[in-house]
Amino acid sequence: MNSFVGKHVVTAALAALAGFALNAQAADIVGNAKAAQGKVAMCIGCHGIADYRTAYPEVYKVPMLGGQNAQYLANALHGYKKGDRHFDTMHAIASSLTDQDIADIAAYYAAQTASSPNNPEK
Amino acid sequence: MYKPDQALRTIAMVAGAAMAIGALAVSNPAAAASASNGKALVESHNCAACHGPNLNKPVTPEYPKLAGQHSSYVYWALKQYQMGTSNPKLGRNNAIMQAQVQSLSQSDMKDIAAYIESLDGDLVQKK
Repeated sequence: MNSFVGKHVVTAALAALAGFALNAQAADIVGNAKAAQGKVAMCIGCHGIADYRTAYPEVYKVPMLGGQNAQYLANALHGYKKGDRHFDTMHAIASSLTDQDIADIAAYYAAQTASSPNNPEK
Repeated sequence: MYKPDQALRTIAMVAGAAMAIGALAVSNPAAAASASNGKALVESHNCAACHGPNLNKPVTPEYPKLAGQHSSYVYWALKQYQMGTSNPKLGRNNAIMQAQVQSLSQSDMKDIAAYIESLDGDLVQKK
């Protein structure tokens, strides 16, 4: 009985630590890729167009997001929202997102692979 | 009404403009980016220590996968890191990346970007 309880306490503690390490920004928020299907309309307008380029302050192709690490994407969106990363369009869009939206969108793009279907809602 | 002189002058002007545009395109360093020099720089700067083997398996999920990313975006990101905090409107602030790019020239950064774009990785462009 004691060892049963002990094992579960250890497992729970390890899981909590892992969750904290993975998502220090919001330990209690878990991204839901499916929930993001209706939240990525504004992303697709640029990031969903092959070879789409932005023109200011330099001409460059907007980055590919599919398959990128979720934590990196979430940090990028938080950075744009806060103003640590600079691009007016991304600041405006990220400012409209909640922490849950950001986690969902990050999970959505991280889950994409070469064989993923395009968003059926868009 | 028909003025052959004027027509000739117009043709000459158009031809001149076309040549100027052609010369600009040729002198554009992006066209001359060397992926092999980029590979050497990626190795000497030990990019894989954080971004992982083939720059596609970062050692922590906070770091981005780079393999296959658009070269023009990578070049711009490297330039932003070089600006760092000295340009609060455009610079990207990351202590590790700022230190990594300090010694790079513009053409070095274009070469690195060209090499990164040439790599096959997980990144995809989907809706």
